[in-house]
Amino acid sequence: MKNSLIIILLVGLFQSAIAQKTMVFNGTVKSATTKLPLNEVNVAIAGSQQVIVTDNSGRFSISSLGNEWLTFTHFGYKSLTVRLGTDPNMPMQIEMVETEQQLQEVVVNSGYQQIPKHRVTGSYSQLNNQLLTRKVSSNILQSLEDMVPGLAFNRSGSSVDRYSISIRGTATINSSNNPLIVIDNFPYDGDITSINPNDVETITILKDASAASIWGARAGNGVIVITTKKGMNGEPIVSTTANYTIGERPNLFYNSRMNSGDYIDVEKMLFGKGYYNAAISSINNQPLTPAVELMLAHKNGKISESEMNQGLDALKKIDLRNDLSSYLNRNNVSQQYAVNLKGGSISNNYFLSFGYDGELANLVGNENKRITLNAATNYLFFKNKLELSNSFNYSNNNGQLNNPGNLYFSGATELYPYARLVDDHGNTQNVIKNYRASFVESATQKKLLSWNYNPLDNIGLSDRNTGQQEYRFNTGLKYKWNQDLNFELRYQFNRNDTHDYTLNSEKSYYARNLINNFTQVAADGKLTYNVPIGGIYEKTMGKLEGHYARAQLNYNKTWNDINNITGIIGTEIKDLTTITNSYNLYGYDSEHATSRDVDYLTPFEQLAYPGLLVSVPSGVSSTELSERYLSYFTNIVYSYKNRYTFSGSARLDQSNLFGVDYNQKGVPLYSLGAAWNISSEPFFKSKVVNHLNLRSSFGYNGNVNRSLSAYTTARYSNGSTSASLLPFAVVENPPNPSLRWERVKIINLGVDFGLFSSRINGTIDIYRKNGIDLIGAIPFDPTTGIKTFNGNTANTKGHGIDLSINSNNIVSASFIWNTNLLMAFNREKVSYYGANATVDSYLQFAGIPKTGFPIFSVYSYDWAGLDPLTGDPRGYLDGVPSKDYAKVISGITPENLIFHGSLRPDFFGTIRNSFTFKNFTLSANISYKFGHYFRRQSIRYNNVLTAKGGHGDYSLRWQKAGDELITSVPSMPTALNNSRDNLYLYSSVLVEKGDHIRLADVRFSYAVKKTLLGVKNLELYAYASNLGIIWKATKFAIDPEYFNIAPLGKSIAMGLKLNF
Amino acid sequence: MIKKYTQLLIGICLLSLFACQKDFLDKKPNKALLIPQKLADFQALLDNITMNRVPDLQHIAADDCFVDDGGFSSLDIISQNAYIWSQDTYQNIPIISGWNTPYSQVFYCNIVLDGLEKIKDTETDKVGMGQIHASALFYRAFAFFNLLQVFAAPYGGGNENSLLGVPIRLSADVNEVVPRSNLKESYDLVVKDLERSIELFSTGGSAKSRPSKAAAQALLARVYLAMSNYKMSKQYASIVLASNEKLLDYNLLDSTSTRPLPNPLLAVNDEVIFYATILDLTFTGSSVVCIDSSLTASYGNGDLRKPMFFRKNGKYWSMKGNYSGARQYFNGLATDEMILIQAECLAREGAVEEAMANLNKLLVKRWKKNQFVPLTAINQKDALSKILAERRKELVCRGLRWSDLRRFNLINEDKITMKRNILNKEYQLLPNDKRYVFAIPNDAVILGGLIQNER
Repeated sequence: MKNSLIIILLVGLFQSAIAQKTMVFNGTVKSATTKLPLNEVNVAIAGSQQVIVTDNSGRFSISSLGNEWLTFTHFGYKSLTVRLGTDPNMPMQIEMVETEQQLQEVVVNSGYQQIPKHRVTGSYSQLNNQLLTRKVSSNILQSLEDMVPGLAFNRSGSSVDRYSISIRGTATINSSNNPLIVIDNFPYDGDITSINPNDVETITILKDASAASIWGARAGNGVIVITTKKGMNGEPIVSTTANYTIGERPNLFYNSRMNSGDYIDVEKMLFGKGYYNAAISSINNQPLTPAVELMLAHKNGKISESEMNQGLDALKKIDLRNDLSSYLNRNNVSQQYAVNLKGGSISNNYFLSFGYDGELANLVGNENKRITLNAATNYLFFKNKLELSNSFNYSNNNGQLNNPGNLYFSGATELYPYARLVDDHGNTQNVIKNYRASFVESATQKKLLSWNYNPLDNIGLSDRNTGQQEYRFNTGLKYKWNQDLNFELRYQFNRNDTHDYTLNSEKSYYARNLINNFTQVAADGKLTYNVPIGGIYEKTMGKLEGHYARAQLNYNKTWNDINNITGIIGTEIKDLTTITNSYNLYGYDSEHATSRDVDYLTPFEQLAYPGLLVSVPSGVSSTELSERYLSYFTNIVYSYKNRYTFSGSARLDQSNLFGVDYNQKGVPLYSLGAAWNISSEPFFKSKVVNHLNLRSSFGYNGNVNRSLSAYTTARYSNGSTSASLLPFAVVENPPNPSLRWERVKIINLGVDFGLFSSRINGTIDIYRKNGIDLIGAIPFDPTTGIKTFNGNTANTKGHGIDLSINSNNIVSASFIWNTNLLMAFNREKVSYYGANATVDSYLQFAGIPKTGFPIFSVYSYDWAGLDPLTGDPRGYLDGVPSKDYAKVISGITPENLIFHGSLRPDFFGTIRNSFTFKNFTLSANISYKFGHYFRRQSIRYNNVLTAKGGHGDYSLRWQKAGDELITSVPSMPTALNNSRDNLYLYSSVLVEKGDHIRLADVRFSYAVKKTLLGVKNLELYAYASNLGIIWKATKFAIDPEYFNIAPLGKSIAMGLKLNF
Repeated sequence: MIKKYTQLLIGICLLSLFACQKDFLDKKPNKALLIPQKLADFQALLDNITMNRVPDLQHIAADDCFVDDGGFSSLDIISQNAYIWSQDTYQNIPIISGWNTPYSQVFYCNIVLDGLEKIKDTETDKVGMGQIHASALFYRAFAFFNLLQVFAAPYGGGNENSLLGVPIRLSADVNEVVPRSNLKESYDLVVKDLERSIELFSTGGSAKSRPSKAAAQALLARVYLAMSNYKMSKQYASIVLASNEKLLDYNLLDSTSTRPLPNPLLAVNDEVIFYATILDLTFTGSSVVCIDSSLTASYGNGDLRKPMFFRKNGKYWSMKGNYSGARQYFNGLATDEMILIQAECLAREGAVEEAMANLNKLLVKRWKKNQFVPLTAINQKDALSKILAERRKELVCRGLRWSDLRRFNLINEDKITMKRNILNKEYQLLPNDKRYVFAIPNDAVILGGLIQNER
């Protein structure tokens, strides 16, 4: 046994009366294992900038007032902090423990048990609080970005803060692709934004079968195990943190849009063709843009041509985005404050924390506040045989969502680009929304409520308040029979109450519009209000209630000093109910909280839509969902001489799947693993390699799709939306008698290594990850009555490498340079898919992947350039450029479609360099993504010709012969042609490489350790993020990660951390 | 001793988790879900208003309405192509409601029919079961009939065995491969199902969106007319009229109102036997779609139908609406259609006077009081021509004109060539043109292996 205890000899216990005087202390540092002196050990006094280094005999001397804290750091050794005595005559004897032993102390928390790292056969990554709080964020998951090899944030959505997390690629198609999140031993079903990152101690990412299969049928996408902070044995410590972040407003000009001049020219052309006649003659008072109104006024002889042109020219100069940027967007500001207290003794300890987060979002009118409160205690009873641990978490999120978001005109068309929100004198302006200006005016004459829409004035009038309150109570009772065997019972109660209230005041556009539409005007001008004048209060409330319980036997025995067996066996139950209810209140008086009764049954004619009969929307809906699981699990690890480790785990999950026979409700999953710690073999002698451990594992994880059933299922609806008002049912699923659970088979080979006394250390994992019986959509002949069928139809094959290397490049007394390199390679393809989809479906990624290609693939039509005579886009027909679109497109089969590559990068990672000079630390994260493609957006003429505007590429379109040499944007067609649009928009000319390197963030900090006013350490920091792209493959001004939405603006945070 | 107790305690704890497991896992994951197996479930499936929708393609392609260049440009692509009878109607747009909706109806009906088969021995409410059984047969026949009008050649040329009909799916099994039946088999099934449903229906339906015995008889009259089987058509029209001859008196309605005709689902409209509407895409709702000028000109001065059905739209007239009482165009079954069928069949038999008398029964309710002069005919041809003219005026925008055009062209009556003029280009559709049969959507051809129609 070379196991040794940390021996610290601290001599000099006499209190000195003359402690205020600086004295010189001496000491020696040795290795705890070899007892040999250690040179070049850094010795620092807390709170001072003084750092000294030991000499060749391990000796050091340092001047101090005494009673101060010294920190010893040396690479390959665990850092050590000891308190200096007061008597300089007693030399200090310091023994430092090698990192290898330290590594052995690291435990991996699977959510069920803590296994020492050297007995782990699976693959995982672990982040401690220091790394988690390196970033400034209120969302714990965001702390994982760029920090874990193989964990990717996939952004390709409608909103910058919407992303999905994938661990080692994706091995599912139609089912959830989110990793399972476990908080304090139980799966977390609440909203992750309720968790304050400052309360998190560690996060462990379980990646392969051996690590994750204990979570069985929900582990297929990987598991994120979050452990919150707990009490500890020692004097009370108070930690506080505060920070302030400012983020730039988004660049609204990032998304290209047809300019006002082009927009008006198109409107002129359409007006000439009579396109607007439909709207003009409509009985539904369809709106016309101000430009079209001018053209109409001219046509009707009300204004002269020059007056019209003057008006149009004035409009052409306006760009709505300027006003949007100034009045509906702003720089965002976030504040975060957190404080916690922990302490305790051997028999009991405690933890208390409080946190406040406040954010004023980029969108004016949107803000969010969060308060978190946590308490945890731990008690030992009966000679430490019984352990009781309790924790209580409370979180209150409250948000205001009053920004109108995108402004629309006539339904779903984007507001015309020459709208103004504010005039030259700073007065807010009305814009045309749902109705003709003349109709809006006539409404005022009829003494109806104003029908004007003023986007800026309306902010706050429809006051939308969303929020949630979460309570989590977690208790565990552990009884230790003896050294080897203990039994634990755990229970968690989780309740999450959400609300989404919109109080549309009487003055809000929403209320005015609804009240007006339900008003009846009699021949004598008398008004009858079917919706009373007053506010309209729309309320939605949700309640999530979860009970989780677990009984588990733990066994851990070491015999003959060389055999160790660790085993758990247990059962677990989960019962989660989600209820949502909503309703509307009319004639709402917010002062007295009263409302008035409304006739919800009688359909009334809508004032703006003559002849349309609509009932007053009651807003009533309710749902009740239930999710239940019953599971049995076991995990056994046998280790011989701490060199050879074998592990096995098995789990059976059952759930209340609907309409599935009882025996089909469950799925058994298992894994096997082995590890060999080569560096502890007697024969292993290397000067370079000081640590080498091989791991291998094999097994199955699962993924649940609870939406399907073996029988035909239908969904009830109360009929209030149906023309007949009769309750009705909609078929959800055709029957699927052969439905099975999805499984993911993972084989993992891993190496953990340390070189040069662990100066360079790292982990490499190579894996295969195959999805089996994945549920996917099969396009169906619509003649059958369904268009798609969801069933176990796909298999995927993936493989990859995760690599993480930590290198201490320069270590000297005053300067440290440290590099962390994360690299992930992942390639996956659909090895089998039970159906072929159409070319369109592959191009538009309609959810059906192609056999032999990645799940998320970018395909295109072969581009034959523009027709030099007409500027029409061309494809290939029998190898010859052609514009017979019907034939070109029908001639393209899934086989001869061009495949560019995956939409998601297959090679990605980060490099983080940290430089510490004395008390200053600078670190920067550079992230990179390679090997993926994206489709650039461009002009869709169907939208242009239906007066919906379009992409700014319009101004680059082919207009005359020769333009084809400088542009690939087709000419404007004379008639709608879907095939022509699609041939261009899905052609290879719009596909771009996604490769890029980005400066993700930079952090600069200043840390001091001082005993001033009881402060133990203080850190001041600045953190800048979203700093932009360093290099990208595409020559277009598009950030490949945000190819259809403006990226987040740069942000900078300032903060401090204080412990005392 | 303590050890023993603790072991016992653990044992109990573990057992308690197992004990409740059966019930525990039987809880529904979503309370709104159901597995259709009871009569109420089947009724709910059939009450889905999608069951009361019919294709729009045949209405767009017929000659009830027209659009000018500007109006044309505001239509969606499929409507544009249907309007000018393009060869490639769908331009790779995948969802073709004209095909998908009726087949979705067939699927719902088959779920109900398969489900009834399973409970037929145990269900005690035989009357309710019969009513639902009859309804499912009715809806399925209605769907097949509507599909046959759009996607198959007209019936009555004598070559029905060699022409293709539509796939006749009789089971809810989505994996079953069903090719297109021939035209005769297709119509035979429609007739057979309707006959069976007439036997099964006890009495009238409670809501106009639900079929009834009279609805099945009326549909059969419409089907036989489309098959040019005037004898049977008249027989069923007469049965319907024998039990209910009620007509709305247009003199009692306010023609100045936006939608003067009452909505049969929300108000009383005794003339309507069964409610159905044409799919409501851009064409049916658009204000630029005007009614054929020669048709609007043919309404007499005291004819109240003109102000009830149409509103003045610039130089032309646009549709206000008909028996849906809403924006949607009615395609359901009503007494007026039965009278017109009866009159037409009588005229074709040569019973001129009886035919005209029947026609006048309808017109008297349509004309201003005191201004109506009963129509007379000098011979069979005159009678037929007058009856068909009234049929056109009465059933405008009911989605029936296309079938009539196909029928008239096939039986060598007054052949009609339709013409459109859009963006200085003239389009025409000659009698019996191949484009009188719409193409089957690509997805159905590729995935279902169906034989495509030539166009």
